[in-house]
Amino acid sequence: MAEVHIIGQILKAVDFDEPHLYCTWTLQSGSAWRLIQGELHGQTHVSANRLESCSDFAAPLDIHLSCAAIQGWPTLLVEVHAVNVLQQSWPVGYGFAHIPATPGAHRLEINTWKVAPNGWWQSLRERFGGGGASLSKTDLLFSGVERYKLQTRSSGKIIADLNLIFRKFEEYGVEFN
Amino acid sequence: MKEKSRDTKRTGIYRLRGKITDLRVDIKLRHLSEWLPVPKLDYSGAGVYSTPPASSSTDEFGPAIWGDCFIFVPTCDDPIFSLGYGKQAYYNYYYPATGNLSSSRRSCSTLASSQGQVPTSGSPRGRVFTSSSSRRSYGTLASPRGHVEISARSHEHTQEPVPDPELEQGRPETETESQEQNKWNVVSEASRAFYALNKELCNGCTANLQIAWQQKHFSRAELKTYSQQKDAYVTPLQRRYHRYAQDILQLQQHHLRMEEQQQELAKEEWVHVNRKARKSKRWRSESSTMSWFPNGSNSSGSMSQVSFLEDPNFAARTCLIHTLLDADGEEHLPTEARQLHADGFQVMYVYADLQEDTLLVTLRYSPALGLLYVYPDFTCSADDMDYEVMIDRVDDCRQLYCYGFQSTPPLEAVGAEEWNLQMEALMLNKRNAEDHQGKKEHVQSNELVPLPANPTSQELLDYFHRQRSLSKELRVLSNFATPPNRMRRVSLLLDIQEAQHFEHPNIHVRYHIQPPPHTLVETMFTGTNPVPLRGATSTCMDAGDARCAHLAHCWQLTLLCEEQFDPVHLLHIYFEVISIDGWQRERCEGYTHFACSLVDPLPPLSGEGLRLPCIRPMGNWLDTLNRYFLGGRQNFDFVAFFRGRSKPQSTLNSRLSLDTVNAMRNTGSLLFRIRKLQQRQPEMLHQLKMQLGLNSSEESETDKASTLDEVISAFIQARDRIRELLGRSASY
Repeated sequence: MAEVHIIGQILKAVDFDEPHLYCTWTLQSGSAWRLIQGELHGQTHVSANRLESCSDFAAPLDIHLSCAAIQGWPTLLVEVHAVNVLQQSWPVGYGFAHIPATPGAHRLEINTWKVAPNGWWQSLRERFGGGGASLSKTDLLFSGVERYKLQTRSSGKIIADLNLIFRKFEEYGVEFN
Repeated sequence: MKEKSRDTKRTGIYRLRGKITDLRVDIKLRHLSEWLPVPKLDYSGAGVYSTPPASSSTDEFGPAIWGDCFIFVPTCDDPIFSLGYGKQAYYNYYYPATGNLSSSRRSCSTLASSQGQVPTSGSPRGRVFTSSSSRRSYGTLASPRGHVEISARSHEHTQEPVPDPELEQGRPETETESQEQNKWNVVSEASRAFYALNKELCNGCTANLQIAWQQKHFSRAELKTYSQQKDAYVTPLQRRYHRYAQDILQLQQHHLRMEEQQQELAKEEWVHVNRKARKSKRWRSESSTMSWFPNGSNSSGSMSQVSFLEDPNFAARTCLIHTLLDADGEEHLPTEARQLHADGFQVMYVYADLQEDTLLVTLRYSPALGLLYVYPDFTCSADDMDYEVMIDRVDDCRQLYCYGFQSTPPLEAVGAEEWNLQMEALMLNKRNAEDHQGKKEHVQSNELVPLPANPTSQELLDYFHRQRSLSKELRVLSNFATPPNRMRRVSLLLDIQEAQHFEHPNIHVRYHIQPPPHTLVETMFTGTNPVPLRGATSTCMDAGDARCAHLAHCWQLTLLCEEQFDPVHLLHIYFEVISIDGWQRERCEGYTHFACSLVDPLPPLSGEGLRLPCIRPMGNWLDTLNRYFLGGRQNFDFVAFFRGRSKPQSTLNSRLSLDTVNAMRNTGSLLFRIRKLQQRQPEMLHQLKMQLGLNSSEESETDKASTLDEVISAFIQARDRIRELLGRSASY
């Protein structure tokens, strides 16, 4: 059985319009993968940055996985939420990216999007009242041939630094290139 | 094993010492008894069959209304008890047509007529009939001419000469009789078919079957499915099932031939042997364990001479007991299997086709924990048929079956304390699986085994010891999935990042992947995307023109290719960028293409992101007007365009055309990221290292002796693979 250590941090969120942000993250993988140690999901603190469109999180990641197949390679799913003064929060960015398939240090830039408002009323509500549309089912994030029916808007980016350690893959004939 | 649980229907948990593939389960199933259907209380008048015939006006059982439902209560000297079924309450059976004769006589006449022979007038008909009282109802059900036999029974009761069945067939039926016949046919058609397929079981034989772990046994429907033409099957699993189905069909044909031979022998001896009827009784007592007649023959005289055609393994031949495995796919398994798979279990279901599919045993195995869960628990012995199944169908007899099963290799039952620990680990895995689905509950790994508020040093030591042991168990998964022999697995991590600089906003990207020839797409682990070869991103509103459209769409594609794969064959990915405006007009914004070799390394910056320039046909002024006002997408074969295979006669664009009308124009760009993983057989890697002199100290794998079985199995695998590849290549 091979093992993967994912050590790093969710560094920051850039290019978001909202000033107060926090990020939740989830590591998703196939059924042949098991968590040995660490957390498969977590949440950062709320970061407020009004002068620059950059919110620093520096949320640490330390995950130890084992796998029995290369299928279902882990994917990092991030959700960025905005918070207003009334302590209301709503999602302003969904994004996901594969964990890199080579050991070593990597910087991941995860583009995010949010669900587009369905009409002028939702636009007004999003702009002035706070809150936007969110996905009721997270599996909509992942696919479907007719996924183009999901209307989104571009949002900011999440930047994550990852250091990957792969173990025992060569014993099972796995090559990374 | 065997700590047999006395409380029935509990889950047994066992620890496996060896491999799960060594598991064998002996299962036995037999028919116990049957009951009448409950008579309807809202009976609204005398039916035609409740009216006694003119010749039976002296009804000894009272009013004619009781003729609708007749319960046979056997007496002590009834031969039914000498046949060893041991069920005192053997209620038999439903004969709406007659109510005047003892049921044993009726049933036997039914059986006799059902088997195509009429007892001779000199034979003691009653004895012959009672000898088959244990299968009377099935004999009735199996009769192809149910109503004709009912008429024959009426004649028998009135002591009239028994007419020839052939003449009975030709006798014109009254309207009432035909109605009742239809009713009877409707009621018992399924049962009749069931008897025809399961004569042995219905006549009291015990079905024996040994099932290995993940061993496929077909149901009748599956046997029919996989017994078609061989060309209809593509995957190795289908071909393997097809071979199994052929084996079963051969077994059935062999059995049929044996039956025909027995029948011929019986006919010959029927001519030459003139036995007294008294001997038939002795024969019955001697052959109590044998309970079914071959060929439908009911001749007591010949049966004592012609031995029964015993088939102890009839369950495998008749597909009475069948299994559902992981390999059959989750769509064929019960709904719980999906969750069990998500929890890391391998599952196996054992069914019996008892007029309706009945689940007998559920087996699930956790490779991570090394535990086998059995529901219901094993019986002490397969002969202890502790579990009962009741089949209660509307307007039909209620059937009772019993079964038992045991594991051939000894298993170690898990104690309660260890079981609790494992269950907690299982619950943790389950919660992790729920986390995979995006649930918001925050799970702490420290919740695995709760730590006391003020732990002592010993408790702390125990706590961390348990954590380490559980982590160790989680590390020991069964086997790393390796590609088949002489094949390599290539897994691509694909990611469409962003798109920009197109003419219109509101874009989305559709992709189409064309794998190289002689490759197989693995779709087992594709998760929510069962077809990874085509798809679309979400539509990014108000972006894609000067504004960057964040698409963030990633998926994984896994292919199997030959070890000696030709690197000339490339994997092609075609992208089409489409915009949709507020009036739902689609416009093509650009096409682009990416090709890579499965074997060779990818471009250096492919992991960081490749910016693919997009192009689209420029068209003439009419196309421009159409595009502006009407939208729509041109009939442009961009796959052929990128591959340079446009036909000369085609009016579509050709990449090599010099006509300016067919010119292309640049549009935007697409940021695309691709990573690749390759997996080969570890032995092949060792061998490669040996050839390169990197690992000369180790023993070469080629020096190891190969058995003949390994060579044959490798040959069969290679043959199947070649056939499958040829089938796939023909479909491209």
